[in-house]
Amino acid sequence: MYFDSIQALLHMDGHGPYVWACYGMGALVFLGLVLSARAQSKRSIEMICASDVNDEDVQ
Amino acid sequence: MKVPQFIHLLGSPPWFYRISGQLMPVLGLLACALLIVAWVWGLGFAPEDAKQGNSYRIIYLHVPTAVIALAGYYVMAFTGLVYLVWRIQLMALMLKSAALIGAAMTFLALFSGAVWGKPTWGTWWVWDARITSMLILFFLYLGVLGIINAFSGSKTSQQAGVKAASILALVGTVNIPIIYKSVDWWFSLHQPATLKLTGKSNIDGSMLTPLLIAIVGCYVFYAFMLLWRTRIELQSSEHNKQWLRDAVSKK
Amino acid sequence: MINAPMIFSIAAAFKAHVKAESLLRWRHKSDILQPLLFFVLVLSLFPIAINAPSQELARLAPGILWVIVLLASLFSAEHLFRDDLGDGSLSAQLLSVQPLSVYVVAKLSVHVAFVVVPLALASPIMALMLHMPGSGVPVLILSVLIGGVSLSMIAAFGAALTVSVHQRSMLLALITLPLYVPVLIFASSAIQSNIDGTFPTMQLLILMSFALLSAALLPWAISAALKLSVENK
Repeated sequence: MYFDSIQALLHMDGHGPYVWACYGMGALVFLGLVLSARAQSKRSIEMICASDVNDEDVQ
Repeated sequence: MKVPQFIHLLGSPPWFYRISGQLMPVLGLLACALLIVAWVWGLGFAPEDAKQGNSYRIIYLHVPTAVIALAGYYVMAFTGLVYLVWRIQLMALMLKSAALIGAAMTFLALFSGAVWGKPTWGTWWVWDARITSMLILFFLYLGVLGIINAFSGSKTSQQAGVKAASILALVGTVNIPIIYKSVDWWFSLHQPATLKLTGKSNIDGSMLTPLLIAIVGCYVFYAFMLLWRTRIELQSSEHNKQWLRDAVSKK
Repeated sequence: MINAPMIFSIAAAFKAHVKAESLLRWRHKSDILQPLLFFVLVLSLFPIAINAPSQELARLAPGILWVIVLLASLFSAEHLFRDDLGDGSLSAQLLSVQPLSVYVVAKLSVHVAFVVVPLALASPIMALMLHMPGSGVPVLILSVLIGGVSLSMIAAFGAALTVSVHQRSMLLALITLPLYVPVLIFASSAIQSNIDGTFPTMQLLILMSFALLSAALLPWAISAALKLSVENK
């Protein structure tokens, strides 16, 4: 590792808060995309199982 | 007009559903692996930048998201074009997905750019060409999302909304280079020299490799999310079809 | 008015549209004053809010004036197609033998004549109120006239996309304002450049090219947007 200790990695000579804030927000957005997709996917699969089949307008 | 085979296949939702179902696990795992490698490498192992110190490590988030933000706009406009020309429903669903993911990536690029600006330029926000164009790109994405949102309701209304969003995306495509060039010209007229710092940072090979991995990782993540969200849109718009029920119950 | 399947030539149809639209606008003369009133209202807020010495205000004047021109053109275009969609004359246009873009271009030409030209003519007075140096005024008028064409086209595009939607004001602004940016840049830079002593040939030519580009391409987009708005109604 480039840094000597975990403290140095977190601190990054004073730039730590900026760097970690960015990556924190990055993790938030990436995870948010994945988790919201998962929740919606669950909901829509439930909807498929609950709804009546109506194949009239299939091309 | 003769429809190419590839686009013809995209017109078949069951085909897309099957293929995307096979691709998604591969893409998801690959994206996860690439991004973890790139970011652990970039944050913990890459050397420090001589000029900017450790703050430059934001590059491993900023540049990939900015690249995806722009590329994603063109993906969105392309799906819009294909939708308008060939009326392929699947493209409408993909346009909706592309708008959401693209907006999220643009937001991240803006946010990380602003936070990076503080230790580098001493200010959170600089009206330079790239940041300003990125902000306008964000507005364009929000416009597309806003249109899609405003036309919610009946199925015909939703279709009209996607058409409107496609037209807007296409007009935006013509405009993006014009906007970028004008903003670039305008702000280069009276740019303080101190801001040129990031422009020509000679980037070392040991810093470049994780950056390239991060960019590829973000592309794969984008493809993964695009397929996933399109599948979800497909599930909710075709929820009463037999093939979908078969596909779901097979799992 | 019953449109029998007469074979209009495009030029005749264009003329008829222009005449009808101008007559309509002329009957509501007070609407012509609305953008001007808006211009003065917003403009008077700036010196109150900034409270700076007049040379400071003069330095900001080209930018302030142009931002207000943008907003005025945005609001004046909001209801451009509303009545035509409401009373069904837009649907009638779709059935006509002439392409919809003829109607669009005619309507927008009248819009430019009734909104942009008065704005351009009134702008020297506004410039005076902000203590802008007199050398900027001719270019200000020119830039409003030329840039106004692009602005009207872009705003009409936004209005056509959102005409069938409720709560459209915010959406219209969100769609339109980002597309305005290049016009804003070159127009305010043109005025500044003339004040600084160089005639802004380059900026004015670029504004002209924006006007031609938007006049050539956007009527198609506007027609397509109007079609889907009729479908959505």
